[in-house]
Amino acid sequence: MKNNRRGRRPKGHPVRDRRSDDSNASAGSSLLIRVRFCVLFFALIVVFSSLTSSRWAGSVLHDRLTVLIARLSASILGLFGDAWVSGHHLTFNGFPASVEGACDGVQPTYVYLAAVLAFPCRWRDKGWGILVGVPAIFLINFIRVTTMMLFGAYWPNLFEWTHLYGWQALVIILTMGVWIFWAELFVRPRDQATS
Amino acid sequence: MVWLPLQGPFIWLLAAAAEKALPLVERPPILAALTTRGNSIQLYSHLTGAAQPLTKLDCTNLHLSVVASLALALSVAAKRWSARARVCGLALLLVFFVMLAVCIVQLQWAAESHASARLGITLYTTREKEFLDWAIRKSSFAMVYLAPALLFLASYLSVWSAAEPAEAGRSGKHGARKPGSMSPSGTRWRNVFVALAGCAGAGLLLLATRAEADGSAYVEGLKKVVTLNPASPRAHYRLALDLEKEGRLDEALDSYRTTLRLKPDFVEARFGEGNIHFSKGDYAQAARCYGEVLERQPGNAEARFNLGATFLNRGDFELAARAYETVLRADPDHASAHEGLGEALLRLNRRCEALPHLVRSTELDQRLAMDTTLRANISILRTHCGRRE
Repeated sequence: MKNNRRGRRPKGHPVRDRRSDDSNASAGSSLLIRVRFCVLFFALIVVFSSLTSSRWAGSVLHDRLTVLIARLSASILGLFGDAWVSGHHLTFNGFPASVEGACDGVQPTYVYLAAVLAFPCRWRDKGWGILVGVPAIFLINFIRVTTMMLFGAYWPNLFEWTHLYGWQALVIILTMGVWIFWAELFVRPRDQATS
Repeated sequence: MVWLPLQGPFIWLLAAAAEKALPLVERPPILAALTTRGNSIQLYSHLTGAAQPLTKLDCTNLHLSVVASLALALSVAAKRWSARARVCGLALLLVFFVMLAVCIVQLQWAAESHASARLGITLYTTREKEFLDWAIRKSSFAMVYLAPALLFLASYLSVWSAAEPAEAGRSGKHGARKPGSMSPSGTRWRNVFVALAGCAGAGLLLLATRAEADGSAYVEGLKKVVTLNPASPRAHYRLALDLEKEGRLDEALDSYRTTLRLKPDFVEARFGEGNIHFSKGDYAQAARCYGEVLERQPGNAEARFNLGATFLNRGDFELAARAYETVLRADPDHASAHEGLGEALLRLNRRCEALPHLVRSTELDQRLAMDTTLRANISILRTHCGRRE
């Protein structure tokens, strides 16, 4: 039973191309995989975007997540100085900031989820991707918020730059880093084993 | 580092494309022109006149997204330089269009924010503002997260899926292909995609060029602003100015009157009303308007000069000469005032007094120096006053 499952190849996976001797057909299939991935990726982004921008998501997801991030950051920042938290408002050594809905890491998380779910691989691998990736992105965002509070308190001139420019680019780069970690460590070895 | 010298040209290109695309998005148009200075784009609107920018938009954040997108797209190990160049080109094309969308909505939002904060007027309807708010959030998301992620994932998947046929090809009759390279069929599809994307871009630019707004379109834009801000004298005044420029004098007069009903001490509107009366040949009303302006601002040289021109046209040459003399006391190098005074003195038969003013006007203004009638008058007067060239 276990072997059967391991041996089963996912639908539309590149490995299927080996069955054909015709390289043109392989390349066509390769293009099809990419097109399928892009379409599915976009569709998932639209779905996640609609779900997370609803009022329900605002009260259930964003509000709770921002409060959680603010509390966790305050507990870490307390090691370095005087940290105080009220709801999603955070003060560290006199520097006040509020963790807003756009800072809760939900957007990079659903980009990651869409990339994992759209990628042509087995559902078990996708499950691993979600289990490993979502906490990792939450951690990245948590580090982002905490370091920005440190910047705000110790180097206030750099706060705006790190907030608007530095961390924005870094978050998506790190998110893609998590994704490639998952693809190379979970998907590729299994793919090579099955082929 | 590579991107640093390209920042300026990129923002310039973005502003040029946004200027072309804005008439497609804004109907009727409110933003008239865009210029760039370093990393910022300056917005011009008829709301603040052609010479003064409405506000400016800082575009520094766009560069990091461009760099992140390119870095992620090129980080995937495509072995052939041609493949890397193709990825780079496609990435730039995609990023440019995403940035263009971001830029357009941010420009509109910046204009709205500035107009409501500084001018006390709103430029868009509630629905349009809600849409703009939504568009800003979504386009920023596309710029910061979606475009870099998509470029990276597409590049990665391209190499991933191409590696398998290549491995298969090594043992087959077609021989080995490098990872990242494609079969003729795949290359053909890719070329078709690139060509289609290029055509779409060129088509958009062409369409935008053809959709360039004219002066009357901006009048419609200002009419919309007036509809949204019926109690704003500034909005009515700006509409009146544009209507006057378009030669729609009756409508302009109505707008000036509405402005003055809302704010009776709006001196510029009274001056504009005077100009309309002057253009329509109603010199009595024009003189009344200029007189009211001068009551509030006795040092207003433009109003004094126009009052002189009104008197001159009405036949009150003595009053005209006095008005021009007052202007010249404040500004001795006012060429048109010299010309007006010279003409008034001529009509008063004080020819030799008129001559130095007419000569001085030609010395100060090249346009007047080219006026053949004026030159002929000067020549006759010189003969008459006993001065030969």
